[in-house]
Amino acid sequence: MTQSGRPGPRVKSVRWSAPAVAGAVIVGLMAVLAVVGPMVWGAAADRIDAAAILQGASSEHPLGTDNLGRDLLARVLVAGRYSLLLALAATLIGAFAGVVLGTLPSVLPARGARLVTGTVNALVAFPGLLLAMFTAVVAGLGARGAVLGIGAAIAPGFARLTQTLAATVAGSDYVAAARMLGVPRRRILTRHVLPNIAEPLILNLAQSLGGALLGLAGMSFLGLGVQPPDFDWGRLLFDGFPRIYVTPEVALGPAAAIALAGIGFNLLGDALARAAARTPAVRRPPAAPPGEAAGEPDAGAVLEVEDLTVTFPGGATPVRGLSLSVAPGEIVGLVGESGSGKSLTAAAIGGLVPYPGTVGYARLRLAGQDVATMTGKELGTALAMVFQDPLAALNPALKVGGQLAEVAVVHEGTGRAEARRRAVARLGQVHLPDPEARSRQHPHELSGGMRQRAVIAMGLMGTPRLIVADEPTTALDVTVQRQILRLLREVVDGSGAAGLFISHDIAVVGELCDRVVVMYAGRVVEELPADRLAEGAAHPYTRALIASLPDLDTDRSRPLAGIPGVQPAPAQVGPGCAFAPRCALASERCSAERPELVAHGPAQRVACWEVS
Amino acid sequence: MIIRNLSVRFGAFTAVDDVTLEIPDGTIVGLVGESGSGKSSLARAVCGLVPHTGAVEGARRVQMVFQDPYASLNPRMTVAQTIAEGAGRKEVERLLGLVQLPVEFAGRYPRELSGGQRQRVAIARALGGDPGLLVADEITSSLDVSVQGAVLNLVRGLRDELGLAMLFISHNLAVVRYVADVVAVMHRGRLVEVGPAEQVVGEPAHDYTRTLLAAVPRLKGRTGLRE
Ligand SMILES: Nc1ncnc2c1ncn2[C@@H]1O[C@H](COP(=O)(O)OP(=O)(O)O)[C@@H](O)[C@H]1O
Ligand code: SF4
Ligand SMILES: [Mg+2]
Repeated sequence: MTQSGRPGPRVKSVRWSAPAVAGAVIVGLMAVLAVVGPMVWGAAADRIDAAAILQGASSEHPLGTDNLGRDLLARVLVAGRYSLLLALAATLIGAFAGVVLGTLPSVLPARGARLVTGTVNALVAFPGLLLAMFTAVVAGLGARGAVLGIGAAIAPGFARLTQTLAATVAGSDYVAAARMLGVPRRRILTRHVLPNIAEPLILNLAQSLGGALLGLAGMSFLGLGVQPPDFDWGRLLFDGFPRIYVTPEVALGPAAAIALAGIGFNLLGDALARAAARTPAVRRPPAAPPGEAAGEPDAGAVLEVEDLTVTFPGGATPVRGLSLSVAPGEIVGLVGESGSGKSLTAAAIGGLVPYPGTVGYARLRLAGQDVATMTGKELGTALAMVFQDPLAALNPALKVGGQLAEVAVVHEGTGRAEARRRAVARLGQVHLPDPEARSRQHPHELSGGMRQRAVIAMGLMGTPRLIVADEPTTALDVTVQRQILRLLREVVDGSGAAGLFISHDIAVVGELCDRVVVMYAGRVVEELPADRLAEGAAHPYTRALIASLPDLDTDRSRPLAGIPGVQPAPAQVGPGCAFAPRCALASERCSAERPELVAHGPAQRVACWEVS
Repeated sequence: MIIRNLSVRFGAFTAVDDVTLEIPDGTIVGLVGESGSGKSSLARAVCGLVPHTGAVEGARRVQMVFQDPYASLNPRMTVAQTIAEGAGRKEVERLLGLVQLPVEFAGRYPRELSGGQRQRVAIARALGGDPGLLVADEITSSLDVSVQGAVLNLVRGLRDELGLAMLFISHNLAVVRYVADVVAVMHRGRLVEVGPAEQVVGEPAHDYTRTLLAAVPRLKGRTGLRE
């Protein structure tokens, strides 16, 4: 079973950075304070002491006393509960109103929807504090007015967020499918839209809490909020403020409490939001040092990989002892079903295996140098990588020519003008029509095929010794695919670089490459010259891949051959031949003992008990 | 059913230009063309998902299967809930059988399925809407070839079993030739050639069809792609 689907943003693991820890600790303390504060210090906060009116800090009253002689430290600690509850109420009101406003357009008829959207847009542009004060004044002085006011200030932001998120989901294929099936609008909202936008909305809630807390304090401070005898932090600040020049501590106490709580919620909210976004890739040093005893060095090879293994915690090993080499001017194809470890092999070569994966090898050399000892700069010039999605490699905000020039400026210290000139030349080299004009365009202005050309041109800005292309044409149609394949061949022939071409499509690999390496469940199962693929493939898996490919003369009266079953997941590869459960030739020996990759005639190697 | 004089315009740009195409019951019509040629716009118009002029006559209901099975299933709904959307709960078991998925899959979520299995669920959902026409837009292009074969076999089986009319869209002529009875070639929003599959592939009448044929990757007679 493959696990490649990502159902929306999801909190996988909060990376516990210092700010995240600080945020969590502060929020935790605030929660404790809200629970126990009034119980512990309630009596002290209300004790009137005529002998100690309007005092400054003393050992008995660290933050001083108020006009009735009540201890201000106790009052600050007690006020925590009320302040936090009010903030929570305001946030919930704002969020609820916002979600309703945000989802209304998707259930209302067109005119009503436009009206709501317009209103929300206007409110978003309106200063939040003004909206809050206006609402509070209309709703009446006091805590209720302040809470409603802050709620009103929060609502438009939530509405906008909800609208944006809902619009994304509403544009998805599964909502289109539901509409075609005649599922009613309201049901689409409750079944499809809301469940898929809930998570980011909840994250936003944490951040809004901090804002609400500050906003409410502001309202109380302006006299619009909590009225005596009730008190929250804002009220305490309001009462202490006139005395700030004489006894500043009476105002600083509540101010510090407000600031601390606000910072805590914001830090935690930020950390949660960041954790929900995708985990970034981290470069890992290799687990095993390069060994000297690792077989014969492949004289003249640009890329030498020996016994490469990529492991993830929990026992998943998607790449298992893989070896391959690529000579200058040669294109080697790496082929196999998705999940066989092709992309992780490429990632390991480029030092791009995502955290927390670890890479081990006996030898991993690019142009004779251990990849682990190369600086980012050296690797950046010697290695060009092209991926399936060219947009991921291009910065959408920058013009194409500028991005290419940047590579030469950063890696080689080339002057701006010279770098720009070279960028245009490289764009011309990859046959981008009118390279001068195109270089001044942004990536989104180019078609998919043109973008892929631009990425290849970017790889050519250095002097690449190896070009790794991972499914570079999978998102393109066959016509454009052919053009890009031709270009890759031309670039390799012209520069003498080595090429590693990765694809799940054995026909594409067979047509472009000189040599083909077939991967299954993390291992090489066959290696052969590409021109032997059609007639000379020996491994049952390779043969099954070829058989399942419809050709222009496939017999239409018979069902297409497929491969029954699925490839085992990286953590579930058994001791024997991994292909055994799907193999028609499998014997008992196959599931017990793993066949080694051995020579099968000249220039071919196969790992199968039935082939000899 | 028949698509008559259908056009789709986005502002001043005409994505589909006056297309007329007949899709008889029990027939798979394959639609080929490069990306941007207007295939998806035609498909979406036939399904009523984009504004268009012209008519779609004689199809009771149209259902669609999308290219990306990861994006076309709601990640928070089980297989059974997804299929039941159009068909109702009682039909789930029968539909799973039609697309050759075990009944145990009913309680699973999309993330627990492989790409090919998801695409089967999407087909089952569409069949649950009792379509007079099924539109399949590049439904195998994000699948492994090993899985593509099984999905293509399924599609042909459904045609024979249910007498379904189907518009099968792909940019790969080898795939379309295998699965379709009739092949229509689209170029810049227009149909440039329509005919029986073997004939369009064997004796292409239009230059553009020949270009598409030459672009199909193949193992026999490989060139290494040197000019
Ligand atoms: N919503 C849209 N607005 C403007 N242009 C569009 C829109 N959708 C598609 N197009 C354009 O219509 C043309 C045909 O696209 P499409 O139907 O997706 O073709 P295909 O399915 O063959 O890839 C393309 O040039 C595309 O840019
Ligand atoms: S070793 Fe056995 S199971 Fe593996 S491919 Fe060969 S025959 Fe099949
Ligand atoms: Mg399309």
